Amino acid sequence: MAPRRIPSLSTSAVPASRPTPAGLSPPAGVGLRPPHFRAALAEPGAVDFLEVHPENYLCDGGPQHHFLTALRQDLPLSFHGVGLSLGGADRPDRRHLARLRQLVDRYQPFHFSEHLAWSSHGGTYFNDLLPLPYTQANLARMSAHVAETQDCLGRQILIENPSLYLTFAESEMSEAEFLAELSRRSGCRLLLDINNLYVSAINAGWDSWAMLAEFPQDAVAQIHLAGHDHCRDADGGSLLIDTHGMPVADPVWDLFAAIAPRLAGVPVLIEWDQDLPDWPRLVSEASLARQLAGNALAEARHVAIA
Amino acid sequence: MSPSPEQAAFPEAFAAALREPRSAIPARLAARPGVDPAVRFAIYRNNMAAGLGRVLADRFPVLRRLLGADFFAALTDAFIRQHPPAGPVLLEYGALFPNFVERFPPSQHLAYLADVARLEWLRHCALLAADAAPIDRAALAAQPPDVMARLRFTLHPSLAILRSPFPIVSIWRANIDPANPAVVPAGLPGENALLVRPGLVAEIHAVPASRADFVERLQAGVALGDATNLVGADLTAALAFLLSAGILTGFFPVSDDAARRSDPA
Repeated sequence: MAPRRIPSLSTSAVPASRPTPAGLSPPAGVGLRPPHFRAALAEPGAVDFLEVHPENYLCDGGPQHHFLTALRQDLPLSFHGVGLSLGGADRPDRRHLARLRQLVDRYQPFHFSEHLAWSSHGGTYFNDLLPLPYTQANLARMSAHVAETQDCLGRQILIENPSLYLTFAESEMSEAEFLAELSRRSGCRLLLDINNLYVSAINAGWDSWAMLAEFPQDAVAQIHLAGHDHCRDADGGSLLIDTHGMPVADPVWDLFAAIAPRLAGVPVLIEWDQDLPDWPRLVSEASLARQLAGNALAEARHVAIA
Repeated sequence: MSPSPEQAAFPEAFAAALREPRSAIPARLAARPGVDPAVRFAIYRNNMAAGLGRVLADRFPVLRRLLGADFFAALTDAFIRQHPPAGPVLLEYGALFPNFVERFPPSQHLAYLADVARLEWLRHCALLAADAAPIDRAALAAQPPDVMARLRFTLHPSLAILRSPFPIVSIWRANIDPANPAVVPAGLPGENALLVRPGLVAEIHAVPASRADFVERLQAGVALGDATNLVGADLTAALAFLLSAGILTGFFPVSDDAARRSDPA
């Protein structure tokens, strides 16, 4: 595989990977939560980048901006929006987009991502990433919403695959087909959330390895990893809940290690939003991702050479 | 073009079923073979209530301690159903909660609870307010007495005052540390809470009514000399408090229009 373009040193550049003997590890970051503000500031070299939900920084001042501004001096930043409801029926809220644009201009994140999901309808915000039928009609509508968002933000965005508990009988295409076409039509790139992919596969009765193989890998610009809760359906089968409240599960690591050689250099992020661990534990999860990807790539090259 | 059937069901029917917990779920939903989609739909219903419930629990920790986790959850469930967020910026969610607490039948007899909720909401707002540098004390001290009387002040953007017939500051202080058992101090008079966030921490002060009046007058743009009658002999102490609490952020003479225009506030 050809080496990826080396990012420029502008403030919005994709974070550089830390030097490793093999030089093969991707940049690894963590989702930043307020309880970790001070620890992250004391040890900014522990991760390669940070990610925040921009909605949590749409305020005038105070600790949120104080700490994010200080951390931004040391680290590249990625924005992960959860409120634009791009898969919904309503057009993205222009006032909300304008506020996000201001925040983007202020912090210059290297990525702005959103979801293949909806969260608002008719003036109510449901505070969840809700599923939609993968139909031509919804594809056309979401492509328009993504394009409008990119126009307002003045940049390309990333769209993430969702974690599903339900699917729709009227879906006309697979999730991968929907995402590939969304990327082609709107010019957006994709965020591959491997935990979401695995959660959806188990919950919908799909094959996670087939989903990973079908995922439009050329469009992937960032990877997310997170933990999920393992519950049981009434029939005794597995039901996975996407809680972001524990370590990354082994099957998710396996999928990640398998795809890592083909996504060399793509930033990888650990999301941990509930039952937060202490900062060193979170950092170690990111280090594990970095190391695992580096090892997988080294092994793949070794195999290729042999 | 007439809407296709799936557009009628999505997201309209999905959204309606999310908002109405006992309603039937939309048709033609699926899951893994053998699994009832209604069970899965309940996960989405639960996500909304649980997520927003956590937001409110973080925002109103003292109210939650006073009510107990179960009662608080029942209260927030009812609030979330009746007043779901109108937009995705959850920093702004909960402004209507104190009034809801006041009218919530099971706790209506505990009148102080709504004021505790108001105090916690104002504290949350203070944490999000704009930053402002403290006043230049040396420059202020250098003003001649006649100019001093004509000074107007800009106050910190986070400043808020809440007057209550209940000892809300004492109640708040007694319950903010989760290590201590929940307690409602008895036999105390009402208190006026003054909130300000000069740095990263929102401070809550209990102030006499006269001092609250004084601050509000200054905030309304009244000159220092015209506001002093509210605090009388207490002027020095009142000013010292305003300075030490970080409430004052700028000053300019009343008659100086140019200074007024150039003032950032």
